[in-house]
Amino acid sequence: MSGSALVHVSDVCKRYRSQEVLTGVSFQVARGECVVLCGPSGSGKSTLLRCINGLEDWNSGEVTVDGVDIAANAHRRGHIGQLVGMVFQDFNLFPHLTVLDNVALGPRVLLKEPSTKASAIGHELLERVGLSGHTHKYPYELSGGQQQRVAIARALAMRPKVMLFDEPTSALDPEMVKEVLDVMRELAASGMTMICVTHEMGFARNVADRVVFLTDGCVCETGQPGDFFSCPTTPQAVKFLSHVLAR
Amino acid sequence: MGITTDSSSKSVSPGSAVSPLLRRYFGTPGRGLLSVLLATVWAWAAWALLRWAILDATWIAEDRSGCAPGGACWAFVVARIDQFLFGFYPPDEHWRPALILVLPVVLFAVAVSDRFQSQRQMIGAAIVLVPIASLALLVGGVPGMPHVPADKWGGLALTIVIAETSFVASMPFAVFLALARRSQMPVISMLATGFIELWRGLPLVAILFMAVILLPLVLPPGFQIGRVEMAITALTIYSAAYLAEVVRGGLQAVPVGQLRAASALGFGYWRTLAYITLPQALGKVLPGIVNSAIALVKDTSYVMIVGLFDFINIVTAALSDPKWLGSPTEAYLFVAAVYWLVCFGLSRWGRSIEIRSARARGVVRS
Ligand SMILES: Nc1ncnc2c1ncn2[C@@H]1O[C@H](COP(=O)(O)OP(=O)(O)OP(=O)(O)O)[C@@H](O)[C@H]1O
Ligand SMILES: [Mg+2]
Repeated sequence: MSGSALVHVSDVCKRYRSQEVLTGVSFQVARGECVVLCGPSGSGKSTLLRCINGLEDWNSGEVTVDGVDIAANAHRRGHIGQLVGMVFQDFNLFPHLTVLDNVALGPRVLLKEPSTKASAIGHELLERVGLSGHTHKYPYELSGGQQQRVAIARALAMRPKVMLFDEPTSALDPEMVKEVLDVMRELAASGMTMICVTHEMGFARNVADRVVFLTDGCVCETGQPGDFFSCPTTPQAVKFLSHVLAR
Repeated sequence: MGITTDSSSKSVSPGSAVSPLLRRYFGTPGRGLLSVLLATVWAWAAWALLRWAILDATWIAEDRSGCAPGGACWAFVVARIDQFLFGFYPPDEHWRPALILVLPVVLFAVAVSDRFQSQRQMIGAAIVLVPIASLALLVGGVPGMPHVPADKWGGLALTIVIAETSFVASMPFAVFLALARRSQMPVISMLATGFIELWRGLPLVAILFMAVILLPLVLPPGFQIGRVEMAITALTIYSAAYLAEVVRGGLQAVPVGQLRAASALGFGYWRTLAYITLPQALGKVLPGIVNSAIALVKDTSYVMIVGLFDFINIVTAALSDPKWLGSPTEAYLFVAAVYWLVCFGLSRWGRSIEIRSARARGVVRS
């Protein structure tokens, strides 16, 4: 495979009891690439993301990130946290900590930065996501869009090599979607490697380098966004796009 | 019925603050009559109590016959106050149990005052250090503090030391039990569940009796456990079994998303526990923890079963003094008042933590 690929997923199979959720998923993500992962509900997108950062174990196949075998290192959370960052659909900010502490906790506790340095990292990242005025608020005091931007800053604070986004805008009101997508766009432009599960086809079209289309637990089609949206080759993709674009 | 109508209560005359009040108590003739009647009864009762407890009371007397018959005989409490507070501790060393009584009061004052809120870690450390220091003060055995054997300990100081030590020891124990009960490993979970159910299912009285009667039979001859150690151990286990369930409730209330987020950031099991799960879980169940602490303070009175002269037991024992034979009312009123103050203080402390964290998270605005 190409030597520059950062994330290798090869032939990953995953079962929940008798249900086959992933049936041999393979794809690669190059350094600095932004890949949009899409597919119908229940096709295993979230499960796949959780496998890539070792939150979930799987039955066969291999995942490596920057040469690190995720299955073998899944229990070393501190190690994986600095490799893979993750942003969740429902933010999952820590409600008992201020916005700044949400971001600075990782650097302070896990990267062993002195607390002044950790705060500095927090301030810098919060400014980057446009929230420098909200550092001392608690998560509940922020709108959904603001909370999701804090969550992005929190993940970035661990300086991961790749960022995973699991439907980061699905829990947001329409008017807040843009502010989160703007942050993601800026992140992609800065050269961050990203794997985004999203139904925002505008984002996929304009920002993604590649679209990976998942159905029934395997990669059904993959291609440049332009090609994928204008002339999908598989009937599943045609059907999916007609549903999504009709919205 | 004289229900205050909306339009009248909205009047904005200067006297409007008073008039709804007046209307509430004297709105109708029936209501007025009831108000006057109740106020009279209240005033009469308060006056009778005041006369008995203060005005007609005897504060200093040689014995029971020196007390005036119509009023309270506080002289008994006054004459015995050293013993009630410090047990049979040598008078020269009374400053030690006195300090034991002062320490928690100071800690309370610091913890509830707004001034020291930035010092949470310091307060946390003090909560652990105060019982240890108190126990060390009681035992002594260092230059300047001669050793005082356990049979001289007693009174309120002993009660406080037992309560503090048991509570502070039972808290980590309870967290451990709660975590073990939620463990993925069935053996560990079953052991923890069995332990909790066993000790929760036994009356404390039975546990203490067993400790006194059965332990000496089981232990190798010549091996002895002091009564105080016995009492503290029993109360710690008993309280931990209750607290474990409180803590488990809190752990269950932390959403899985929090654990996922922590894990994704790189927090392992113990760090997730320390920085994410426990702060949230304990915050959620603080009222339950305070409840258990209050119960524990009152449960210390059972240590009389192992033969300790705790606060209540020492008062009871003093009542059999022939010089003071007679009604025990005043002595037990004194005991009740002290217990109530301690428990009320704990309740206020818990409340102040709750209000503060709620204020920090904006639920209560001040
Ligand atoms: N913890 C679990 N236990 C059992 N089955 C699960 C579990 N998590 C997911 N599944 C199943 O795995 C399949 C894939 O789920 P997954 O959440 O990965 O789908 P998805 O593509 O992310 O869907 P969506 O777009 O709705 O988020 C679903 O059929 C789901 O029912
Ligand atoms: Mg999903």
